Amino acid sequence: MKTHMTLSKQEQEPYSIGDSKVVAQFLESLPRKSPFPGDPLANHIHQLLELHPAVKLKFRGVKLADLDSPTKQSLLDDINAVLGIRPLTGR
Amino acid sequence: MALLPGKVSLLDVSSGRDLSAKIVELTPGLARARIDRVWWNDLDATSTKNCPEDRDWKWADIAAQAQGCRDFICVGVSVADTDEICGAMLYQVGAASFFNPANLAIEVLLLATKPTSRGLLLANLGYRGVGSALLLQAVAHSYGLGLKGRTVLRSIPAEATIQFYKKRGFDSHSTEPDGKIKMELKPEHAQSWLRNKGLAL
Repeated sequence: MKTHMTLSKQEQEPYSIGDSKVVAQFLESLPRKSPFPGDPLANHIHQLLELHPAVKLKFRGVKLADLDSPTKQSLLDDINAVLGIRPLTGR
Repeated sequence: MALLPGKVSLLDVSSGRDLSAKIVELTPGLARARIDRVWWNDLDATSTKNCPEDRDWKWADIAAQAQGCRDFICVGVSVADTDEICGAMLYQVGAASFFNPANLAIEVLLLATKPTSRGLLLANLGYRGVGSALLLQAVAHSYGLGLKGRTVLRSIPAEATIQFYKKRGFDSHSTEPDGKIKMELKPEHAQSWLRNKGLAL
């Protein structure tokens, strides 16, 4: 993906967003930790379910973290289909 | 760390050639070694006399705070075949839309590119496409989480920067007391930008 192709020579792309106040607020905050450290796929599924509470899943005694990667990927594909999210390609 | 590890292509300004790069999770160690100890130390005083306040940001601390977080993502742009990190960004998942707070979005909280890639500081050096690549990562992640690409940020009140955002479909919402402009990329414009970059939807 060529991110510079639509930049004209005169165009000024952003080189800075935010300020030191934002940095200080973030460093002093207590952000929630992920329940699945080191497992991006489980994190992504968990986050999708939290952002879209209308999507309900019953794990029937099985924990998300215990699923193998193909099963998690299949689950993610199903959730994406329900939510109308087409996985991005071309990256 | 979010899914969607993105491959991007930058323009090497001095040679005019395309360079491969990728979006990576910014760990504290990587941030310390490749940003905090490098970005501003490689420049002489005359070239940075009017340097912006992000010179004092400690990306290692920011990355450490974001590490393992559910809703805050800290990423960098890593140039292939080198150890160089030429841009960094912190964004939040699940922020409120400026136009309709009931809608959720991704908010770009912090973004900085390597000083040598800022045409305002040093001409004809560095890379072009870094800021765009970082923003597009946030938009793509927003889309992948079902937030339809909705992305918000607070821009500096510089006309050239505002025009960059507007050209890509960001709408101005309001001006904050410190002069920053609240801007939002709505779903239709976000998805148009992703399509234009070859990210099939």
